[in-house]
Amino acid sequence: MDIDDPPVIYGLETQARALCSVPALDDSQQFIIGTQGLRVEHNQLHLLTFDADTNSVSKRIFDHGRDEIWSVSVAPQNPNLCATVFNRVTMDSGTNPSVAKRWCLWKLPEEEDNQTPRHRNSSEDALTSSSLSSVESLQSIGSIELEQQGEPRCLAFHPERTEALLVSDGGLYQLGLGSGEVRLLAHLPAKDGRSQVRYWHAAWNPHHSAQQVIAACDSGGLRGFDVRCPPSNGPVVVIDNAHNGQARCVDYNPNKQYYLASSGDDGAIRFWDTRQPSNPVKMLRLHKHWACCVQFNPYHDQLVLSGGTDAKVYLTNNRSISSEPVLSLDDDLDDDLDDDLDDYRDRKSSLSSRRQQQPELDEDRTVSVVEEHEDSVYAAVWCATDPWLFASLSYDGRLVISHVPKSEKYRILLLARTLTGAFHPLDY
Amino acid sequence: AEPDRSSRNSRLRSFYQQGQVESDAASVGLNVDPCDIDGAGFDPEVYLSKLLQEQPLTSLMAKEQQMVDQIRQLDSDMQTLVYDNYSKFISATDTIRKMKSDFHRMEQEMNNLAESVSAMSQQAADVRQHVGGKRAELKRLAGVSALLHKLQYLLDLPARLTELRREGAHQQAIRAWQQADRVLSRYADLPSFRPIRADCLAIMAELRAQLWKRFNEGGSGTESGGEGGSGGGAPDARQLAELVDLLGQLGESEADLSAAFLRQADPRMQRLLGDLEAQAGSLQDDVLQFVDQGCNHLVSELCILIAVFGDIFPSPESRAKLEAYHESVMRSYLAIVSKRFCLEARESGGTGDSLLVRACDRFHRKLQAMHRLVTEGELSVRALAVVCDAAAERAGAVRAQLDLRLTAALSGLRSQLATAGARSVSLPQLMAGLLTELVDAVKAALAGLQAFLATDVSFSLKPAFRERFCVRAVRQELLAGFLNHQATQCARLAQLSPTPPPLLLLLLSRYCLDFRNSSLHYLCTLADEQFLVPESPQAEALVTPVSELSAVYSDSAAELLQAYVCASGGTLAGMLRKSVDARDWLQGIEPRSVRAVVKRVVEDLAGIDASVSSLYDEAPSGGGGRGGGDRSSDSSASRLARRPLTAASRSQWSATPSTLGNSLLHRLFSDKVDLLGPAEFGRASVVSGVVRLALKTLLECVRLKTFGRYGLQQVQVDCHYLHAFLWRYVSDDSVVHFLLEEILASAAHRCIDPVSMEQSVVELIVERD
Repeated sequence: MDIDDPPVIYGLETQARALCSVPALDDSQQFIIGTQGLRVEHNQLHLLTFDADTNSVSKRIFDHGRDEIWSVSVAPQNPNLCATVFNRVTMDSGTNPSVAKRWCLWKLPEEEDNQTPRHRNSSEDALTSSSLSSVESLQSIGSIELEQQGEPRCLAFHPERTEALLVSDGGLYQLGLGSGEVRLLAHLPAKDGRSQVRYWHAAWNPHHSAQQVIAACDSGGLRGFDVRCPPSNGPVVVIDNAHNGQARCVDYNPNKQYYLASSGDDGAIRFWDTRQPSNPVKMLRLHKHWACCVQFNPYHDQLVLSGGTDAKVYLTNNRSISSEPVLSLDDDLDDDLDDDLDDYRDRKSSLSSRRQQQPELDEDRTVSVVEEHEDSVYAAVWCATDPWLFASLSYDGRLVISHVPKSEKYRILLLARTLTGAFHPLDY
Repeated sequence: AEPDRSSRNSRLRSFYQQGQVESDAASVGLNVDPCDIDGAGFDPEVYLSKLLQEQPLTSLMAKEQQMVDQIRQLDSDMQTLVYDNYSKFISATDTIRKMKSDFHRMEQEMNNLAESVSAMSQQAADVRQHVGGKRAELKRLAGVSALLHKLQYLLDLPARLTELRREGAHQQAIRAWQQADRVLSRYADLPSFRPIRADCLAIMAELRAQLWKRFNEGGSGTESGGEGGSGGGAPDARQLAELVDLLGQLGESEADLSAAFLRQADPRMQRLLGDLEAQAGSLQDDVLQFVDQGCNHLVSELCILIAVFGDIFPSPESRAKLEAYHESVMRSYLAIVSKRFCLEARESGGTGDSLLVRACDRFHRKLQAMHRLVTEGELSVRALAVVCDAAAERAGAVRAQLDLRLTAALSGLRSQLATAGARSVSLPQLMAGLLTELVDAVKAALAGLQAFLATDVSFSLKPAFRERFCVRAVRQELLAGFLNHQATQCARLAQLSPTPPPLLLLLLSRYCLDFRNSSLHYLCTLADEQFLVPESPQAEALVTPVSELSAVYSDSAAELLQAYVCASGGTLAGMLRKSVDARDWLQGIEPRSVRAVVKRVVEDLAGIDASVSSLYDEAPSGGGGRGGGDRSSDSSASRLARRPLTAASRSQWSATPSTLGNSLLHRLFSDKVDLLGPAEFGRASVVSGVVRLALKTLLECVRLKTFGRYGLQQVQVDCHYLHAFLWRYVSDDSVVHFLLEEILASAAHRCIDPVSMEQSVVELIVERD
């Protein structure tokens, strides 16, 4: 049972950058990806549901028109509410085309029961997405023009409230989404002192009812703001030169306050404690080129996923800086297991055999590398409902859904179990 | 007649016990011959007949005459004898008679004596009869008389004691008291004795107090008297010994006394220690002087104390106490000395070595000498430990200096690189300068520390010192530590954010490599030889092996090189990224020239190539398909020459964007190219790493943009230009081809109106530039 399930590959015909995990209410494992085809008539959002039993993917397709999708995000409270940032080309009198980046909120239509059953794409024929599937249409909820908006980059939904943060050239816009309309709550201009900065990505701080955001700047720095303060107060967290080159992505540790990770053009993943912004807590230099995205596992924050333009996705275990207590894995772990379910026996044997090979069980390490991509990976996300599943999307339109290796999974579970005496409710 | 006479003579002679020998000879003949007239078997008849028969008449006559004469002679002899006897008898009779009369007188005297004796016995009996009743009385009186004598003595005792005390004859006073005390204590309950005893006790208490006072003053007396030198202690000690003896007789316990003795000695010790301590905190005094002072005053004093104490208090308990005291003093002293030495080791400059060594040596010798006196407590071992600590501290200080030197050298190098332009400095020269500077610094440091190993230094041959100083402090902590520090320090620069100047990284990378190749082994061997590091497994276990250091250096060099590639590639990439970001690719005019930034990139690349090739040669690259020979002969200027547009190269690559499908096909059928593999130690590998990084960034930036027709064409021109110039710098052309193709394909893909420029026009524009 220790043979890991092979990764499932789902192919798009066009290029793609936009990938987001869907926090489905029925705990199904869903991802949403958006196509990026500049000259394509129908860009699409693909809502993919992964079936762990058959190791296959079923999909729903939504039409996004001619607008190529740069970024997609789904509201954590409402899996049917999604937002895209897209590029709209308008041809003025044929000769002078103009391109504008816009954003919009969409409502995904409810799945109808009498619809034809979901088309299954088993892993064998996953490379060619079926053209048979019917394309559903999206329902626009709205978008508002914001002053000095510039090019929007992405939209980050608030983890708790019906709010969102739009990251744009013009700055950070806190948007209220309640009561069926979008309204501007606050605007943090893209100014850093007197100089202009451009934000590339931003994330809400999930702690303390999410009143803070952190944004990655093109100067390589990170800026944190408290949305309760007036914008004139300036940033509450300043990390300069977090990256050499542009900072591409930031993510808060969901379980450990003040800790966040950032990735950037220098290919490094750096972990920060916002209370000591002068030096990173830890640095990983895995990517050989830009590290485009980084994300903590929502449940086991020692697991960190990162994707880069070197077409690699790294899954690392950074236990030393995670919220997991430090534990030296001693022998009574085995004793503890003996009176356990038979089911665990073979896990234990796999664990102990592994332990002989790796005496340092607990040290930080790279758990696995997704090698299936052949082009730059711009997005890699954890499944919102399954801590052991993640997806990564490369520019050539290839989505790879991978599992955390079972050995790693059991190791984390067993450690968690030894420490707490109980399993995390979401382990299965 | 003649034999007759002779036989008679013999008989006489035998009677008188004389002349036995002759008679024997004569008697032998007699027995045989019956005719021997003197013999026992003389037969007159036979003799006569024989005579008558044998002798003639004349001879008979003569014979007869002779015989008559002889007979006559005999008769007269006999007569004489008889007279003699008779006279003797008479005289004997006279004597007896005389004796008889004498005895008579004696008997009379005896009777007188007997009478006297009986009279005496009579008198004696009378006396006995008279005296018998009064004997007990007499005896008692005699006893009383003796007691009175004693009492008199006791009554006089207080006065006597006072007298003796005043005279200072403590010894006698104590003896007198001791004798009296037995009695006094026995009769202590008698009221009449009590005052005496009380007086005496008071006096003795006074005496005791006086003695104690003197005892305690002994220390201060010594202090004031013996300030100058060690000689002052000895007589005082004798006095003290006397006092201790007296006090001991006064019943003070040895434990108290020894404690008091030590207490008395303690302030002086503490004062000396305090002086030393005060000196230990500063470098004002010479360290030699410090050691001298410590040795001459404190240690000597302590030695004397130990000697005197040992004489006075020989019991094992006192000995233990002394040891404890000695231990405490020595501990403080060693701590102070250690502190001072360490301070000296840390603070003193380069000249301090010999001084410190001499000070250590003197200290060690002195304590070794003392160790002979006090065998307990491992004094010499501890002294050696102090010396070891000082030496190790010195090594540590030297190491710190080296570290500072390194930091200074690195920052100097950095500023040198920053102020002078990249072209104006000769990197190999700088590197060689750094190498010699640091190697010389290490050598100088090692040479300086050799002072500790001079043959005339007492501790230099001790195995413990060798192990601690040579192996651990110098070989491991100083040398291996510094070497390791240097490598990690260099490597740390590679991880800094923001990154230091790329040239520094490049230079240090080569520096690490060269250091590993040339100096590392040399320095280690040098240290092994200079400090006689033994080739034992224990020593090897303590020392980081050269191979490990070498690996560290290789890693550092590789890391630095990689950082250089990243940094300089990053610089180029940054330029390209900014230029791509800033430009409006949608609305633009038809390209007429290569963008300035692209030219700039090519120029910078030439500079990078020049820098790299000044430090790294072609040889180890090996990855390139092209032969290195002709390229290394190129000057950097000629590298700027564009690719010769032969028919082959033209057909090989055309600056037209292939479709995405083409690109996919290309990927399917070509091996996955490791675009951004680690750089090897070689010019081509390094520079192509930079190129690949720049191009990859360009690709990513292009993918983030949307292009109009002319934007695409501009990319086309730029790519062609790059293709024409980059070939010289890369080890593997195909990667550049691939990347440029990808850029074009991506640009085409991102173009809303993908109409590419004519190949010939592109070439024309590039040609013109």
